[in-house]
Parts: sequence; C-alpha cells; structure tokens
Amino acid sequence: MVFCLVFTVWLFQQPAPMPNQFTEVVDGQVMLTGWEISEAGADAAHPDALPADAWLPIEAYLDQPHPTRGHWWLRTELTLAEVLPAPKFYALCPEGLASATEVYWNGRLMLANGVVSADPTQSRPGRYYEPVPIPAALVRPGTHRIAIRVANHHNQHFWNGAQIIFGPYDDLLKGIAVWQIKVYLVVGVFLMTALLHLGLFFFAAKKPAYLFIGALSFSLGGRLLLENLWVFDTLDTRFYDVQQNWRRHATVLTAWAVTAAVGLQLALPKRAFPPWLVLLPLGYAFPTPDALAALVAVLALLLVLWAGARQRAPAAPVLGFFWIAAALSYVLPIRTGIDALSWLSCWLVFAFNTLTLNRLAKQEREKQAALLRSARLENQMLKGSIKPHFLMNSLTSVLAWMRRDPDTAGELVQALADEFRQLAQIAEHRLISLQEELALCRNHLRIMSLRKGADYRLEAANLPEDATIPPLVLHTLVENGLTHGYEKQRTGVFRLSYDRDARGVHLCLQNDGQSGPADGGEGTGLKYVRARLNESYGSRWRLTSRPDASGWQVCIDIDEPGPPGQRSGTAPWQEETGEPA
Amino acid sequence: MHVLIVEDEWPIAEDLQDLIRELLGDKLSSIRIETTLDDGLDSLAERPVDLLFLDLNLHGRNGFDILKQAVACRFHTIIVSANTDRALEAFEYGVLDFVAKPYRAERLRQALARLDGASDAGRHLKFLTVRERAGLRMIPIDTLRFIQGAGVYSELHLKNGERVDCEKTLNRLAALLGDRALRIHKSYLVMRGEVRGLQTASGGKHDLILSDGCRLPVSRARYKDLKAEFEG
Repeated sequence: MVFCLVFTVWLFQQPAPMPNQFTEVVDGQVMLTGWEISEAGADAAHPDALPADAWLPIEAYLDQPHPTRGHWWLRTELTLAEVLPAPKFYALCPEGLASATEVYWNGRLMLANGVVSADPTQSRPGRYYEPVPIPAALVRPGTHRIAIRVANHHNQHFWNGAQIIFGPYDDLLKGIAVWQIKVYLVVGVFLMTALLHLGLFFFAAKKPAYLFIGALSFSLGGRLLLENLWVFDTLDTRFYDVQQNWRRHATVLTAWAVTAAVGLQLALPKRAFPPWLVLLPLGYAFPTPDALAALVAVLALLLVLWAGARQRAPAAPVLGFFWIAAALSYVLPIRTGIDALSWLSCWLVFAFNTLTLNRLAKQEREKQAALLRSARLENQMLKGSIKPHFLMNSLTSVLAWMRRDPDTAGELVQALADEFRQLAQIAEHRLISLQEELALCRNHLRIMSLRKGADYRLEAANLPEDATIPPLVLHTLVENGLTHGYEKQRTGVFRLSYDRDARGVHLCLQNDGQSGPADGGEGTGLKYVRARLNESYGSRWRLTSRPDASGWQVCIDIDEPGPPGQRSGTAPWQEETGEPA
Repeated sequence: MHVLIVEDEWPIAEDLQDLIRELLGDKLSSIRIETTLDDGLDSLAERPVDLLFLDLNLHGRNGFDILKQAVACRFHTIIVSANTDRALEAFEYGVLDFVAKPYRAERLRQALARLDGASDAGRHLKFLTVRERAGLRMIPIDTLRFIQGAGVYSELHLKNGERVDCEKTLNRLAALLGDRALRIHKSYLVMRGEVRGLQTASGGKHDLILSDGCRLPVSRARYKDLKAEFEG
C-alpha cells in the first residue's frame, strides 16, 4: 500500500520534458505541444500561405465556441538537437485526430490519411492511428515546421484529446501492438466471464443473476471492442456516427449495469432495483466515459461500504478488495489505452468471477455433504432393518417353527423374503409412496406376529394414491411402538390417519400398546426418522410423540412449501440454504 | 432340576422348552416360561430354580441388569441370545454358557453338559458376583485363594484374608471356574495358581500347601490325580 502511494507520487513527480525539444537519440519519443489552429484559413492549400493572425492556440480555440465538423490547419515546431543516426526511421504519429489528416514537414506533404476536403461528400476518413514516416534526409538538427490539415465530417469532434508524437517508427508501431494486446486481454476477461455465466445460466442454475452478469460481461467486451475496433480499421469507415452512437449507448448501459450488478452481488433488497432502472437515462447526462466511470466508482464504493457496514453481504469484502485494487492500479502506466470504465469494470468482473466460483465451490461442497448424508441414511436404514439381531432372531423363529409347525415356518420365511425384497427396492429413494411404506409396515407386523406368537395389525383408510414419505419412517415408528408397547400384550392394533389440507400434511400413527418409550432418551430409531424428515422437508416438519387415550400416538406435520420468493429479506441472488440441522 | 426360561418370543420359548425337556429327560423336575423381565424376576423370587435360560434383549430392554442379578444367585445361567457381540462380557460375569441364536439342539446339549463338570467355561470368567447387604459385589477371580463349601452355599477365601459368602454351591462354582480351580476335597476348591505343593500328614492323610503356607486337606479320591499333576 505504502509502496503504491510512493510509486504513484514518483510517477507524477517525473519532470516533464522540455516542449518539443527532441534530444534523445536512442529510443525516446516526444509529444508535440504548442499547437496552433486556424479555422479561418482552412481553405488555404498550404500552411505557409496563412497570415500570422489566422492562428490561435489550440487550447484557447477549444475553450471558445467552435464547430466540431469542418476542416482546419494545425501547426507547431519541433527542434532536433543533434544528428540522428541515419539507419533509424523516424515518424510523426497523430493519434485522436479525426477523421482525415494530411501531415506536412517543413511545408512538404508527407502523408494523407484519408481524403481531406471541405466537402463532406468528398472527404473520406482515415485511420485513427497512422504513423507518418519522415525520410531520413529530412530529419536534421534544427527547427522544423510541422503542420497538419484535418477534416472532420464523420466524427463527433476532430480533436479527441489528440496526441501527436514524434519518435522512432518501429517504437510507434510497437505502441499499437502493445495497445492491442491490452485491449484484447481485457476483452478476453469480459468474454470469458460472459461465457462462464451464460453457460451457468443455460446449462446449470437458471439464476437470473447469472444471466445478468453474463449479459453485462458480454456488453462490456462488446463495448470495448466497439471503442477500439475503428482504431485498427483500415477500411473506409463511413459508419463512424453509427459506431459513435452505439458506443455512447453501450457506455451508459454498461455504467448502469455494472452498478446494478454490484448491488445484486451485495444482496440489495429487491425493491431497490426498480428505482435503479429509472436512473438509467441519467447516464446520458455525463459527457464522457471517464465521468461515468467516476460515477460508477463512487456508487460502487458507497454500495460496498453500506453493505460492509451492515454486514449484510459476504460479498462486500471481496468487492471491496477488488475495488481498492482497481483504484490503486488506475494510476499505473499499464492502464494506458484502456478507458476508465472498462478498467474499473474489468476489476469488478474479476470480483464477480471470484464470487461465482466461491458460490459454485460452496454448492459443490453442500451437494457432496448432502450425498454423504443420504448415503449414511441409506446405510443406516439397511443396517437398522438387516441388523444381525433382527436377522438372527428371525432365523431362530424360523427354526423353532420348523420343529413345531413347518407351514408357519414357511410363512415366516416368505414374510422375511418380502421384507428384504421391499427394502432393496426402496433403498436408494429419498421418498417412496405411502402405499409402499404401508406394505412394508404390514409385512413387518406379519413377521413380528409370527415371531412373538401374537396378532399385530395396521389399519389405515383413505390414503391418497399420490402421498409420499421418506422410506422406513412409519416402519421405524411401528417398530418402536411394538418394542415398547407390547411387552405383555399378544394382540395389537396400529392405526394410521392421513389428512391433507392447504397448510400441509398431517400424519398420525396411533397404537394400543400400554406405554411409550421406557425412558426420555431418544433412540436411534427416532434419530433416523428426524434425519430422514430433515433430508426431505428441511425445517417444514414437526414430530410429536405422546400417550393418548388408548395407548401412544406419534404425529408428523409437514407444511406445504411456501411460494418461492416469499422468504423475507432474501435477494434474488442469495442461495436458498436449509435450516441449520 | 427346576428350569426357568425367560424369552420374549413365545414360539422360541416353547421350542426351547421342548428341547430342554428332551435333553434333560428324567433329571428335569419342572420347567416354566416367562416372557417379560419383570415376570421373570417375580417368578424367581417365588420359586427358586436350578437353571435359568435368559435372552439378553427382552422387549428392547438391556438383559445385562437381570444377568448381573442372576449370576449372583445360586442357580446357573445360560444365555440364549442373538447378541453374540456381548458373549464375552456375559462370560466375564459368570454365566455357564452363551448359546447364540439361531441354536440347534446339539448346542443346547453341550451347554447342559457343562452343568456336570469342568470345561473351558472359566477361561473368560473375571468375576464372581455375590449379593451383599449393600448390593451386588464383584469379586475378581484373581483375588481368590480357595473356596470352602458350606452346605447350600460356599465361602470365598480371598488373598487379603477376607471371607465372602457366596450363594452358589461348591459344585456350581467348580462348573463355572472350570480348569482354573482344582477340586481337592469334597469341601475345597483351590485356585490353581495358589498351590505350592503336597505334603503327607499324619495318619496317611495328605495336605495341600498354599503359597502362603496354609494347609488344606486333600481327599483320598483326589490325591492320586493331584500327585500326578504336581509331583509326577
């Protein structure tokens, strides 16, 4: 941090070179200043033909009301202090002058970039960045007169913060390449982000936020390309105006969307978004992309600070970190050539990616945990039903019946076979039909009746065909009831009632045993039941177990899931997390 | 012999009853079935038995409580249970045998054979449980020196000199301790590790010398075997 500050101060403290003095032999460049402009004498065929009073300093001219379309003469002087090595080519490079230029060196035309003409139909735009090589013979020590004739009929303004640079030709060409790389790098960041989020939206989670970030990143990348495409365009660009207009819309929309995306990430309440939409046209009030970028930066910072202070959003620290990184890196020379809005958005998009990946990783972890829980439950279910104790006692009964009454033994074997077959069928399901569960319970009661030499029954009426329940929930309750309630009874009746209304499902299992569980402790059976209910219904269920007039009853209430989005204070972005177990 | 079966599954209890009747034949005087723990305890209090067949898992309740009560009593206990993972523990408390479910008649016959004599039953035995006024007391086997029979009960002589009354007869303790104890006399059972040697006393009688120098009488019938074991 301290380093960054010191570095920044150092950057600004570098002494500015003397105006238009070129002394560096090896690699230096100089930005030409001291430009004078002539609007009145623009029709003159040659700069030397203009009277001295026709010229005005460019700064003064831009400050007064002036036409933005038409054609002009520009001039300045460049002093070369020493003999430059001959093999090296030097060039003048006007950048930002729109849209057609002619460059003169000591009154001699060096290059026409496009066609300069007072007549809009004759004028043809040139390239945005076109180094003009100066023959080595002309590059001599001394003062040189430099003039540029510029015509603008296609762009919004002829002087787009123009910079006219003199330096080695190859360096100037390299400058374009470096610039291109930077632009495409940032465009790449945007497009990859768009790909990731659009892919997530279409193939994984249909979250509107993914679509939004995907579209935003796509438009950011598109806008940056649009902004810089014409730079490299060698064609006759008749569509400057169209391009410029679209660029304007894209800039405003992007500025708005970036801020909205920050708000989304910070889980702003839903009601904050309609007013946000109203703010969209306000973007047009800001004249330049840089001004919009400043607005976005301030809004984003305020949002992050607000969310951070209220500790509402886990995203706040991440966004804050990237915001600081964006601000610090803004002053570094690496940004040159990338506009402020793209630069800030690029960092914010980094932040979005980080948050999305975090979210995905968290989802994956939760999914794994849920799978593990399910597997454990399945395992527990099978172990509970096929535990050696149950199997051994049942086999003992089979043996005992074989000696006493082989037919009954056969019946018991059949019932056991049925039980295991049913168990195998339902093992992997999280929910089974109530009818299946009922069949399991009845079969279990048949086994236990034969084993205990008793008569246990389960009565149930009016069960809807489509009712479902986690596997072995009723079975476990029946087992519990049998174990604890029928020590002295040789007959037993279980009754199952099922009601469904608007609020949910009400399930009651009642038995006529003498007592409930012997002690208050919760056996593994009830733990299993709770775990299964948690797995399938989250926190939407209640279980009550209590004595009643004829014995014991256990009731399970399962609430209907509320309509989505009814949970208060939940932004559309936030994950729907279950209640802590 | 009076037998009680405590088993919560009626068909199995009846099956056991049939098998035991068949195996014990004339030796069986009476056999009863109880299907709950409480009824079992009541029944034991009412009419004493010689042998108890006990299931460890009765209506979901832990049978070890009744097991601890049972092993302190005069009768032998044979566990018939599917809870085989607790068999070792049962042996440590002093059950005569542990028959795993499902069982076969042959396995029951072997269990009943243990009533009569030495076996490896004592291998896992860790305690003799006795009833005292304060409650159940577990006497670790390795604190025993010898046991003296006294009619329908016996007296445990411990290494620290203490004497403890035990409800089981000397015969039943001999069956429980198996090879770990030596029967030297109608009234004496000596822990094998406590024996130092044999000595002839006056009148053609023989004594067994314990490690602390204490002498116990050896019966004429047992002398030959003991002599072979310690001096042969």
